[in-house]
Amino acid sequence: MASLDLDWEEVREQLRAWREDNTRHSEEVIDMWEYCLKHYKHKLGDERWMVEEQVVVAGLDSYRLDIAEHSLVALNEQFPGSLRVRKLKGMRLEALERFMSDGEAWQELCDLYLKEGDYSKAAFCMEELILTNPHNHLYYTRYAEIKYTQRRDPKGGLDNMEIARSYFCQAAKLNPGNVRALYGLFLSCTQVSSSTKCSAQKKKETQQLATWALKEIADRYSKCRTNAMDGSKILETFGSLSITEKA
Amino acid sequence: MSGDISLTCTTLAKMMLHAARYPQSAVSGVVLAQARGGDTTSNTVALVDTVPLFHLQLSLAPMLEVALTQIEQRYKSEGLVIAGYYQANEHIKDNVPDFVALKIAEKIAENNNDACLIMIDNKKLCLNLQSAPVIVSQLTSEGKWKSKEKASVHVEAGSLDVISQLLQHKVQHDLIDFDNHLDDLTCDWSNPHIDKLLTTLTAAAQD
Repeated sequence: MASLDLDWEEVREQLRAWREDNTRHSEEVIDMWEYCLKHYKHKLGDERWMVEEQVVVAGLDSYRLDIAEHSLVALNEQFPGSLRVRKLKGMRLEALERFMSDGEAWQELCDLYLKEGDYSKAAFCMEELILTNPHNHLYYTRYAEIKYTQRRDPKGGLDNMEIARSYFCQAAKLNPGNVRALYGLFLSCTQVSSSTKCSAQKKKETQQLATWALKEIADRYSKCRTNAMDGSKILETFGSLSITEKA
Repeated sequence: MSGDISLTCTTLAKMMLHAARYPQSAVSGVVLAQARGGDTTSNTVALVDTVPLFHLQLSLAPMLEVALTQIEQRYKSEGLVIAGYYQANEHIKDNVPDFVALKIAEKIAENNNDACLIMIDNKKLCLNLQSAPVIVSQLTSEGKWKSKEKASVHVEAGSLDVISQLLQHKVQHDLIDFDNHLDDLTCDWSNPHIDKLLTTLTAAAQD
Protein backbone atom coordinates (compact mmCIF):
# COMPACT_ATOMS: atom_id res chain seq x y z
CA MET A 1 0.00 0.00 0.00
CA ALA A 2 1.77 3.13 -1.17
CA SER A 3 -0.57 5.73 0.24
CA LEU A 4 -3.73 5.95 2.22
CA ASP A 5 -6.69 7.51 0.60
CA LEU A 6 -6.69 10.40 3.05
CA ASP A 7 -6.58 14.08 2.71
CA TRP A 8 -3.18 15.06 4.06
CA GLU A 9 -4.66 18.10 5.71
CA GLU A 10 -7.14 15.92 7.60
CA VAL A 11 -4.29 13.78 8.79
CA ARG A 12 -2.41 16.84 9.91
CA GLU A 13 -5.48 17.97 11.88
CA GLN A 14 -5.82 14.56 13.49
CA LEU A 15 -2.20 14.42 14.61
CA ARG A 16 -2.49 17.95 15.95
CA ALA A 17 -5.60 17.01 17.92
CA TRP A 18 -3.85 14.02 19.43
CA ARG A 19 -0.86 16.16 20.38
CA GLU A 20 -3.11 18.65 22.08
CA ASP A 21 -4.96 15.90 23.90
CA ASN A 22 -1.68 14.35 24.85
CA THR A 23 -2.85 10.95 23.64
CA ARG A 24 -0.53 8.62 21.80
CA HIS A 25 -2.45 6.48 19.25
CA SER A 26 0.96 5.22 18.29
CA GLU A 27 0.05 2.65 15.67
CA GLU A 28 -2.29 5.03 13.90
CA VAL A 29 0.27 7.82 13.93
CA ILE A 30 2.78 5.49 12.30
CA ASP A 31 0.35 4.40 9.62
CA MET A 32 -0.78 7.93 8.88
CA TRP A 33 2.79 9.14 8.67
CA GLU A 34 4.10 6.29 6.56
CA TYR A 35 1.26 6.16 4.12
CA CYS A 36 0.29 9.80 3.87
CA LEU A 37 1.75 12.71 5.74
CA LYS A 38 5.39 11.76 5.16
CA HIS A 39 4.93 12.63 1.51
CA TYR A 40 3.68 16.10 2.42
CA LYS A 41 6.12 16.95 5.18
CA HIS A 42 7.49 19.92 3.28
CA LYS A 43 4.02 21.47 3.32
CA LEU A 44 3.79 21.40 7.09
CA GLY A 45 5.96 24.42 7.79
CA ASP A 46 7.09 24.73 11.39
CA GLU A 47 4.54 22.19 12.48
CA ARG A 48 6.65 19.55 10.73
CA TRP A 49 9.03 19.26 13.70
CA MET A 50 6.29 18.62 16.20
CA VAL A 51 4.94 15.95 13.91
CA GLU A 52 8.40 14.38 13.52
CA GLU A 53 8.71 14.33 17.30
CA GLN A 54 5.31 12.69 17.56
CA VAL A 55 6.41 10.10 15.01
CA VAL A 56 9.58 9.30 16.99
CA VAL A 57 7.56 8.60 20.12
CA ALA A 58 4.98 6.58 18.18
CA GLY A 59 7.73 4.62 16.47
CA LEU A 60 9.40 3.72 19.75
CA ASP A 61 6.05 2.71 21.23
CA SER A 62 5.15 0.35 18.42
CA TYR A 63 8.72 -0.88 17.98
CA ARG A 64 9.00 0.61 14.50
CA LEU A 65 12.55 1.69 15.25
CA ASP A 66 13.29 2.23 11.57
CA ILE A 67 10.65 4.93 11.31
CA ALA A 68 11.58 6.50 14.62
CA GLU A 69 15.21 6.62 13.49
CA HIS A 70 14.46 8.60 10.32
CA SER A 71 12.52 11.24 12.17
CA LEU A 72 15.12 11.42 14.89
CA VAL A 73 17.86 12.06 12.34
CA ALA A 74 15.81 14.80 10.71
CA LEU A 75 15.18 16.45 14.09
CA ASN A 76 18.82 16.21 15.01
CA GLU A 77 19.87 17.95 11.83
CA GLN A 78 17.33 20.69 12.32
CA PHE A 79 18.01 21.23 16.02
CA PRO A 80 21.58 20.18 16.76
CA GLY A 81 22.35 19.93 20.48
CA SER A 82 18.73 20.42 21.46
CA LEU A 83 17.76 19.12 24.88
CA ARG A 84 14.36 18.07 23.58
CA VAL A 85 16.01 15.98 20.87
CA ARG A 86 18.36 14.48 23.43
CA LYS A 87 15.34 13.40 25.43
CA LEU A 88 14.06 11.56 22.38
CA LYS A 89 17.45 9.89 21.92
CA GLY A 90 17.22 8.75 25.51
CA MET A 91 13.84 7.19 24.83
CA ARG A 92 15.31 5.40 21.85
CA LEU A 93 18.05 3.91 24.01
CA GLU A 94 15.42 2.64 26.41
CA ALA A 95 13.59 0.97 23.56
CA LEU A 96 16.78 -0.64 22.30
CA GLU A 97 17.49 -2.14 25.70
CA ARG A 98 15.14 -4.98 26.62
CA PHE A 99 12.15 -2.75 26.93
CA MET A 100 10.07 -4.19 29.70
CA SER A 101 6.42 -3.59 29.82
CA ASP A 102 5.18 -3.51 33.37
CA GLY A 103 3.96 -7.09 33.06
CA GLU A 104 7.40 -8.44 32.33
CA ALA A 105 8.86 -6.46 35.21
CA TRP A 106 6.37 -7.89 37.70
CA GLN A 107 7.05 -11.41 36.43
CA GLU A 108 10.77 -10.97 36.72
CA LEU A 109 10.36 -9.55 40.23
CA CYS A 110 8.13 -12.46 41.18
CA ASP A 111 10.79 -14.92 39.98
CA LEU A 112 13.45 -13.13 41.99
CA TYR A 113 11.36 -13.17 45.17
CA LEU A 114 10.68 -16.89 44.69
CA LYS A 115 14.41 -17.54 44.36
CA GLU A 116 14.85 -15.76 47.69
CA GLY A 117 12.03 -17.72 49.26
CA ASP A 118 10.00 -14.58 49.89
CA TYR A 119 6.66 -16.12 49.00
CA SER A 120 4.46 -13.31 50.28
CA LYS A 121 6.22 -10.69 48.16
CA ALA A 122 6.14 -13.04 45.18
CA ALA A 123 2.39 -13.44 45.71
CA PHE A 124 2.01 -9.67 45.72
CA CYS A 125 3.67 -9.46 42.31
CA MET A 126 1.28 -12.05 40.92
CA GLU A 127 -1.63 -10.10 42.38
CA GLU A 128 -0.52 -7.07 40.36
CA LEU A 129 -0.34 -9.17 37.24
CA ILE A 130 -3.77 -10.68 37.77
CA LEU A 131 -5.25 -7.21 38.27
CA THR A 132 -4.05 -6.10 34.87
CA ASN A 133 -4.65 -9.46 33.16
CA PRO A 134 -7.73 -11.01 34.73
CA HIS A 135 -8.08 -13.62 31.98
CA ASN A 136 -4.62 -15.09 32.02
CA HIS A 137 -4.92 -18.61 33.38
CA LEU A 138 -1.16 -18.89 33.79
CA TYR A 139 -1.07 -16.05 36.29
CA TYR A 140 -3.85 -17.62 38.33
CA THR A 141 -1.98 -20.93 38.31
CA ARG A 142 1.29 -19.39 39.42
CA TYR A 143 -0.45 -17.42 42.18
CA ALA A 144 -2.20 -20.53 43.42
CA GLU A 145 1.08 -22.46 43.45
CA ILE A 146 2.65 -19.75 45.57
CA LYS A 147 -0.27 -19.74 47.99
CA TYR A 148 -0.14 -23.53 48.23
CA THR A 149 3.57 -23.38 49.00
CA GLN A 150 2.89 -20.76 51.68
CA ARG A 151 0.60 -23.07 53.58
CA ARG A 152 3.25 -23.77 56.15
CA ASP A 153 3.14 -20.12 57.15
CA PRO A 154 2.01 -20.28 60.80
CA LYS A 155 -0.23 -17.28 60.32
CA GLY A 156 -2.01 -18.43 57.25
CA GLY A 157 -2.28 -22.20 57.12
CA LEU A 158 -5.79 -23.05 55.97
CA ASP A 159 -6.51 -19.64 54.45
CA ASN A 160 -3.63 -19.87 52.02
CA MET A 161 -4.73 -23.34 50.98
CA GLU A 162 -8.29 -22.17 50.41
CA ILE A 163 -7.05 -19.26 48.34
CA ALA A 164 -4.90 -21.70 46.37
CA ARG A 165 -7.93 -23.85 45.76
CA SER A 166 -10.01 -20.89 44.46
CA TYR A 167 -7.29 -19.74 42.13
CA PHE A 168 -6.55 -23.20 40.76
CA CYS A 169 -10.28 -23.46 40.18
CA GLN A 170 -10.40 -20.19 38.29
CA ALA A 171 -7.39 -21.16 36.19
CA ALA A 172 -9.02 -24.46 35.26
CA LYS A 173 -12.19 -22.58 34.37
CA LEU A 174 -10.30 -20.19 32.13
CA ASN A 175 -8.43 -23.03 30.48
CA PRO A 176 -9.76 -26.55 31.01
CA GLY A 177 -6.63 -27.89 29.33
CA ASN A 178 -4.35 -26.52 32.05
CA VAL A 179 -3.07 -29.69 33.68
CA ARG A 180 -1.15 -27.83 36.38
CA ALA A 181 -4.37 -26.14 37.45
CA LEU A 182 -6.22 -29.45 37.60
CA TYR A 183 -3.50 -31.13 39.61
CA GLY A 184 -3.29 -28.09 41.87
CA LEU A 185 -7.04 -28.11 42.34
CA PHE A 186 -6.96 -31.77 43.31
CA LEU A 187 -4.11 -31.30 45.77
CA SER A 188 -5.48 -28.16 47.39
CA CYS A 189 -8.96 -29.67 47.76
CA THR A 190 -7.42 -32.72 49.37
CA GLN A 191 -5.47 -30.54 51.78
CA VAL A 192 -8.50 -28.37 52.65
CA SER A 193 -10.85 -31.26 53.20
CA SER A 194 -8.42 -33.09 55.46
CA SER A 195 -7.91 -30.06 57.69
CA THR A 196 -9.46 -30.28 61.13
CA LYS A 197 -10.74 -26.74 60.77
CA CYS A 198 -12.93 -27.74 57.84
CA SER A 199 -16.69 -28.07 58.48
CA ALA A 200 -18.49 -31.25 57.46
CA GLN A 201 -20.41 -29.51 54.71
CA LYS A 202 -17.35 -27.89 53.23
CA LYS A 203 -15.46 -31.19 53.52
CA LYS A 204 -18.06 -32.94 51.40
CA GLU A 205 -18.09 -30.22 48.72
CA THR A 206 -14.34 -30.02 48.59
CA GLN A 207 -13.93 -33.77 48.30
CA GLN A 208 -16.38 -33.79 45.41
CA LEU A 209 -14.34 -31.11 43.68
CA ALA A 210 -11.17 -33.13 44.29
CA THR A 211 -12.77 -36.20 42.76
CA TRP A 212 -13.91 -34.21 39.75
CA ALA A 213 -10.44 -32.73 39.22
CA LEU A 214 -8.76 -36.12 39.43
CA LYS A 215 -11.21 -37.58 36.94
CA GLU A 216 -10.49 -34.73 34.53
CA ILE A 217 -6.78 -35.43 34.80
CA ALA A 218 -7.27 -39.17 34.30
CA ASP A 219 -9.40 -38.47 31.22
CA ARG A 220 -6.68 -36.33 29.72
CA TYR A 221 -4.09 -39.05 30.26
CA SER A 222 -6.38 -41.62 28.70
CA LYS A 223 -6.87 -39.37 25.67
CA CYS A 224 -3.13 -39.22 25.21
CA ARG A 225 -2.84 -42.96 24.97
CA THR A 226 0.76 -43.12 26.14
CA ASN A 227 2.25 -46.27 27.59
CA ALA A 228 3.85 -44.42 30.41
CA MET A 229 0.95 -43.32 32.52
CA ASP A 230 -2.68 -43.90 31.67
CA GLY A 231 -5.88 -42.69 33.23
CA SER A 232 -6.43 -45.63 35.52
CA LYS A 233 -2.89 -45.44 36.87
CA ILE A 234 -3.48 -41.78 37.71
CA LEU A 235 -6.63 -42.63 39.64
CA GLU A 236 -4.76 -45.37 41.44
CA THR A 237 -1.73 -43.23 42.27
CA PHE A 238 -3.51 -40.13 43.44
CA GLY A 239 -6.80 -41.62 44.56
CA SER A 240 -5.19 -42.85 47.74
CA LEU A 241 -4.10 -39.32 48.59
CA SER A 242 -7.71 -38.28 49.06
CA ILE A 243 -8.21 -40.46 52.06
CA THR A 244 -4.85 -40.23 53.70
CA GLU A 245 -3.50 -36.97 55.03
CA LYS A 246 -0.28 -35.93 53.34
CA ALA A 247 2.17 -34.42 55.79
CA MET B 1 27.06 -41.86 56.05
CA SER B 2 30.60 -42.56 55.05
CA GLY B 3 30.10 -44.80 52.06
CA ASP B 4 30.99 -44.20 48.44
CA ILE B 5 28.60 -43.05 45.75
CA SER B 6 28.45 -44.52 42.29
CA LEU B 7 26.59 -43.12 39.30
CA THR B 8 25.68 -45.03 36.20
CA CYS B 9 26.17 -43.42 32.81
CA THR B 10 22.41 -42.95 32.53
CA THR B 11 22.18 -41.14 35.83
CA LEU B 12 24.90 -38.66 35.00
CA ALA B 13 23.89 -38.29 31.36
CA LYS B 14 20.33 -37.24 32.02
CA MET B 15 21.48 -34.68 34.58
CA MET B 16 23.97 -33.16 32.16
CA LEU B 17 21.49 -33.13 29.30
CA HIS B 18 18.95 -31.39 31.50
CA ALA B 19 21.40 -28.67 32.50
CA ALA B 20 22.58 -28.29 28.90
CA ARG B 21 19.07 -27.98 27.57
CA TYR B 22 18.30 -24.94 29.70
CA PRO B 23 21.56 -23.04 30.00
CA GLN B 24 19.81 -19.86 31.06
CA SER B 25 17.77 -21.40 33.88
CA ALA B 26 18.21 -23.34 37.06
CA VAL B 27 17.13 -26.97 36.70
CA SER B 28 16.32 -29.68 39.20
CA GLY B 29 15.52 -33.34 39.38
CA VAL B 30 15.77 -36.52 41.43
CA VAL B 31 18.01 -39.56 41.28
CA LEU B 32 16.97 -43.16 41.88
CA ALA B 33 18.58 -46.14 43.56
CA GLN B 34 17.65 -49.72 44.34
CA ALA B 35 15.66 -49.97 47.53
CA ARG B 36 17.86 -51.16 50.39
CA GLY B 37 16.41 -54.55 51.09
CA GLY B 38 18.41 -55.12 54.23
CA ASP B 39 21.59 -55.61 52.20
CA THR B 40 24.19 -54.24 54.58
CA THR B 41 27.20 -55.74 52.81
CA SER B 42 27.70 -52.80 50.50
CA ASN B 43 28.32 -49.32 51.81
CA THR B 44 28.13 -47.81 48.37
CA VAL B 45 25.05 -45.95 47.29
CA ALA B 46 24.47 -46.88 43.66
CA LEU B 47 22.48 -44.27 41.76
CA VAL B 48 20.99 -45.90 38.70
CA ASP B 49 18.72 -43.39 37.03
CA THR B 50 17.64 -39.77 36.96
CA VAL B 51 14.27 -38.09 36.50
CA PRO B 52 14.60 -34.46 35.42
CA LEU B 53 11.93 -32.35 37.06
CA PHE B 54 11.82 -28.61 36.52
CA HIS B 55 13.32 -25.70 34.69
CA LEU B 56 10.62 -23.08 35.24
CA GLN B 57 10.27 -22.51 38.96
CA LEU B 58 12.05 -24.85 41.31
CA SER B 59 10.64 -23.61 44.58
CA LEU B 60 6.90 -24.27 44.27
CA ALA B 61 5.36 -27.17 46.15
CA PRO B 62 2.31 -28.49 44.29
CA MET B 63 3.91 -29.79 41.09
CA LEU B 64 6.82 -31.15 43.09
CA GLU B 65 4.37 -33.23 45.12
CA VAL B 66 2.70 -34.47 41.94
CA ALA B 67 6.05 -35.39 40.43
CA LEU B 68 7.38 -37.24 43.48
CA THR B 69 4.11 -39.16 43.85
CA GLN B 70 4.14 -40.24 40.20
CA ILE B 71 7.81 -41.18 40.30
CA GLU B 72 7.46 -43.29 43.44
CA GLN B 73 4.49 -45.08 41.94
CA ARG B 74 6.13 -45.68 38.58
CA TYR B 75 9.33 -47.20 39.89
CA LYS B 76 7.93 -49.12 42.86
CA SER B 77 7.50 -52.26 40.77
CA GLU B 78 11.15 -52.09 39.68
CA GLY B 79 12.32 -51.82 43.26
CA LEU B 80 13.64 -48.31 42.77
CA VAL B 81 13.29 -45.45 45.24
CA ILE B 82 14.05 -41.75 45.15
CA ALA B 83 17.57 -41.52 46.55
CA GLY B 84 18.54 -37.91 46.04
CA TYR B 85 18.02 -34.52 44.48
CA TYR B 86 20.11 -32.60 41.98
CA GLN B 87 20.12 -28.97 41.01
CA ALA B 88 22.02 -26.78 38.61
CA ASN B 89 21.89 -23.12 39.62
CA GLU B 90 21.21 -20.35 37.15
CA HIS B 91 24.61 -18.70 37.33
CA ILE B 92 27.67 -20.45 36.01
CA LYS B 93 29.84 -19.86 39.06
CA ASP B 94 27.16 -20.67 41.57
CA ASN B 95 27.26 -24.25 42.77
CA VAL B 96 26.08 -23.68 46.32
CA PRO B 97 22.82 -25.36 47.34
CA ASP B 98 20.12 -22.75 48.01
CA PHE B 99 17.21 -23.09 50.41
CA VAL B 100 15.16 -24.97 47.79
CA ALA B 101 17.82 -27.61 47.29
CA LEU B 102 18.32 -28.03 51.02
CA LYS B 103 14.60 -28.25 51.75
CA ILE B 104 13.88 -30.86 49.11
CA ALA B 105 16.99 -32.92 49.86
CA GLU B 106 16.06 -32.96 53.55
CA LYS B 107 12.57 -34.13 52.71
CA ILE B 108 14.02 -37.01 50.69
CA ALA B 109 16.47 -37.78 53.49
CA GLU B 110 13.55 -38.23 55.91
CA ASN B 111 12.74 -41.45 54.10
CA ASN B 112 16.27 -42.39 53.15
CA ASN B 113 19.34 -41.90 55.34
CA ASP B 114 21.71 -42.24 52.41
CA ALA B 115 20.03 -39.50 50.39
CA CYS B 116 22.37 -37.48 48.18
CA LEU B 117 22.29 -33.81 47.38
CA ILE B 118 23.97 -33.26 44.03
CA MET B 119 24.92 -29.83 42.77
CA ILE B 120 26.00 -29.58 39.16
CA ASP B 121 29.26 -27.74 38.72
CA ASN B 122 28.24 -25.55 35.80
CA LYS B 123 31.76 -24.42 35.01
CA LYS B 124 32.83 -27.99 34.32
CA LEU B 125 29.99 -28.76 31.94
CA CYS B 126 31.42 -28.75 28.42
CA LEU B 127 31.57 -30.66 25.16
CA ASN B 128 34.60 -32.70 26.23
CA LEU B 129 34.06 -33.72 29.79
CA GLN B 130 37.29 -34.29 31.69
CA SER B 131 35.65 -35.07 35.01
CA ALA B 132 32.13 -35.53 36.34
CA PRO B 133 30.78 -32.02 36.88
CA VAL B 134 29.00 -32.86 40.10
CA ILE B 135 29.41 -32.13 43.79
CA VAL B 136 27.76 -34.86 45.84
CA SER B 137 26.82 -34.34 49.48
CA GLN B 138 25.27 -36.50 52.14
CA LEU B 139 23.95 -35.78 55.61
CA THR B 140 26.32 -36.17 58.52
CA SER B 141 25.12 -37.51 61.84
CA GLU B 142 24.82 -33.89 63.00
CA GLY B 143 22.32 -33.20 60.24
CA LYS B 144 24.63 -31.11 58.06
CA TRP B 145 25.22 -31.65 54.35
CA LYS B 146 28.84 -32.53 53.72
CA SER B 147 30.34 -32.90 50.27
CA LYS B 148 32.06 -36.15 49.47
CA GLU B 149 35.67 -36.39 48.43
CA LYS B 150 36.14 -36.68 44.66
CA ALA B 151 37.66 -40.10 45.24
CA SER B 152 34.47 -41.36 46.84
CA VAL B 153 32.31 -40.52 43.83
CA HIS B 154 32.56 -43.12 41.07
CA VAL B 155 31.17 -42.77 37.63
CA GLU B 156 30.56 -45.73 35.30
CA ALA B 157 33.53 -46.29 33.02
CA GLY B 158 33.29 -44.56 29.66
CA SER B 159 30.49 -42.25 30.82
CA LEU B 160 32.35 -39.03 30.22
CA ASP B 161 33.06 -39.92 26.60
CA VAL B 162 29.51 -41.05 25.94
CA ILE B 163 28.02 -37.95 27.53
CA SER B 164 30.42 -35.68 25.64
CA GLN B 165 29.20 -37.31 22.42
CA LEU B 166 25.61 -36.68 23.40
CA LEU B 167 26.31 -33.03 24.08
CA GLN B 168 28.23 -32.65 20.83
CA HIS B 169 25.24 -34.01 18.96
CA LYS B 170 22.85 -31.73 20.86
CA VAL B 171 20.84 -34.65 22.25
CA GLN B 172 19.77 -32.39 25.11
CA HIS B 173 16.97 -31.07 22.91
CA ASP B 174 15.31 -34.47 23.15
CA LEU B 175 15.42 -34.62 26.93
CA ILE B 176 12.06 -34.40 28.65
CA ASP B 177 11.47 -33.11 32.16
CA PHE B 178 8.38 -32.92 34.32
CA ASP B 179 7.65 -29.34 33.29
CA ASN B 180 7.52 -30.52 29.65
CA HIS B 181 5.20 -33.32 30.69
CA LEU B 182 2.81 -30.93 32.42
CA ASP B 183 2.67 -28.82 29.27
CA ASP B 184 2.12 -31.87 27.08
CA LEU B 185 1.05 -35.14 28.67
CA THR B 186 2.39 -37.19 25.78
CA CYS B 187 5.95 -36.29 26.83
CA ASP B 188 7.45 -39.13 28.87
CA TRP B 189 9.64 -37.91 31.74
CA SER B 190 11.29 -41.31 32.04
CA ASN B 191 13.06 -40.59 28.73
CA PRO B 192 13.04 -44.14 27.25
CA HIS B 193 14.46 -42.79 23.98
CA ILE B 194 17.54 -41.51 25.82
CA ASP B 195 17.88 -44.87 27.60
CA LYS B 196 17.87 -46.62 24.25
CA LEU B 197 20.46 -44.27 22.81
CA LEU B 198 22.71 -44.73 25.83
CA THR B 199 22.49 -48.51 25.60
CA THR B 200 23.62 -48.35 21.98
CA LEU B 201 26.46 -45.93 22.69
CA THR B 202 27.79 -47.76 25.74
CA ALA B 203 27.70 -51.06 23.86
CA ALA B 204 29.60 -49.50 20.99
CA ALA B 205 32.15 -48.06 23.39
CA GLN B 206 32.79 -51.48 24.85
CA ASP B 207 33.47 -53.08 21.45
